[in-house]
Amino acid sequence: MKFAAEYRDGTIGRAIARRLHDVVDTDRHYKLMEICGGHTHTIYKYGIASLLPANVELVHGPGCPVCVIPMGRVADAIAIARRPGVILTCFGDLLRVPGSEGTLLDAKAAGADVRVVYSPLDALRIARENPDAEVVFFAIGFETTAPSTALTLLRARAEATANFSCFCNHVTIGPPLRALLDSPEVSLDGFVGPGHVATVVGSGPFEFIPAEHGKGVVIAGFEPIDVLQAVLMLLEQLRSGRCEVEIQYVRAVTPAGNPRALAAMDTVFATRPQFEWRGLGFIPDSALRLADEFADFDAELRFDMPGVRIDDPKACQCGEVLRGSIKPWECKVFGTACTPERPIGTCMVAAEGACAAYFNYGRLAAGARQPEVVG
Amino acid sequence: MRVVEPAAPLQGARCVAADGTIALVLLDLVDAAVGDEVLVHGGVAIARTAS
Repeated sequence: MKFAAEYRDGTIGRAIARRLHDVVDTDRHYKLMEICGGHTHTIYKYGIASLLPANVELVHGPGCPVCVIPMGRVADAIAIARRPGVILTCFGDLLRVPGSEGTLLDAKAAGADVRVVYSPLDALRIARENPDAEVVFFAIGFETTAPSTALTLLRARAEATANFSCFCNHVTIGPPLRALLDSPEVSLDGFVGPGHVATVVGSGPFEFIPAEHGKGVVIAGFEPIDVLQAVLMLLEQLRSGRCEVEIQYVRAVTPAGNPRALAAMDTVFATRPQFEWRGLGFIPDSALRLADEFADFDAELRFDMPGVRIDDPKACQCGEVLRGSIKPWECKVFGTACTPERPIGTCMVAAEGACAAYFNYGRLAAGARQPEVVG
Repeated sequence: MRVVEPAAPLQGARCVAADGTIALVLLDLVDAAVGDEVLVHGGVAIARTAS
C-alpha cells in the first residue's frame, strides 16, 4: 500500500525507538503534545507510547473538530433539522454528538431528514436532486476540511443552487494553541504538529510557538513511523538546544502550504471575532463564517436558530482532556457512564477523540488505564 | 488516492485508493495529473503526495 505500508514497518519503528532512548536525558521528564486527534488515534492504535522512554509523555491536544464543537451549535443544527422541508447533511461523526436536546441521530429517529455525507459536494448534489427542499450542510473542521466547503460554495454559486446553504462551524488551529500556551495550567516541552492542517496552511501559523513561547514543533504525518520520527525530531531539538518548526511530513507539507486552498478559503470565509470551543471557552479569531459575498448561502442568516450557550454536563471532563490536563482514563465517567455507545462527552464520540481512541485500543490491554500497554 | 481519470474544473476526477475504493475528487486545489497520488479531505485533494 503506497505511502502507508512503508510507514508501518515494525523494524524501522523499533530502530527509531532505540534511537529515542539514546537521545533522552534520563534526569528529566518530557511532556509533548500531539495537537491532532488523528495522531492520538495512531498513538493508541499502534501502541506508540509503549515504545517511548518512560520519561517521555504524550498528551492530547485540541485538534479534533468534533470534540471541540460546543453543545449550543449542535442544538442549532438540530433546530434546523427539525424544520419541515429541510434536509440537514453532515459528516457521520456529528450524528451522535450530544446537544442539550439529544443528538442529530435522535432528531433523525424522530422524523427529521438528517443525512450523512462524505463530502460537502454530496450535500450539493442532494440539493440539486431535491429542488423543493432546503438542503443545509453542517460544516465543521479545521483548515483541512474548510477548503472542501469553500470549493462546494464556489460551485453552488456558479450553479446558482438556491436551495443549498451552509451552517459554518469551521475553526482554525492557531488561536487555540495560543490560548493553550498562554494558560498557566499546561506546561509542555514541544508539539507534534498537525500534518493535514499544515498541507493547507503550511508551517507559518506555527512559527509563533518557538518565537514567542520557546517550544519546538514538528509537523508530522499520521502513520506510526511518522509519529515516532516526529517525537525523535522533537527530542533531538531539545537535546541540541534548538527550538524551531520542522516538517517531518515532507511528502505532503511545504512551508507555504497550499496557496490555492488558502485563496479559496479567503474568498468564501471571513474570521469570526469570537467562537466558543467546548472545554476551552471563547477564543478570539478562532473560527470562520461565510463572507458577506456568500451571505445567500449562510444558514445562520437563512434560518432562525436558538443561538444559546449551553454548559457541558458537569460530569464531563472533555475540556481537561482537550487541554492536556488529564488523560482520558482519569475522567470521572470514562468507560462507565461515558462509552462510545452512550457518550456523554464529545471526546468519546469522534473517531479522533482521545477518549474513544483509548477506549477502543487501550482499555482492555493488560494493566489497562496505563497508556504504555496499548497495542 | 491515485488519479485515474481527469476532470473539468469543479468537476470530480475519478480517483482510486490503495484499498480499491473509488471516488470522485475535486483536483482544483492541486497540480495533479493522471497517475499522481493526492491527499483527499472531504472529496477535495488538498496536496499532491510526493515520495
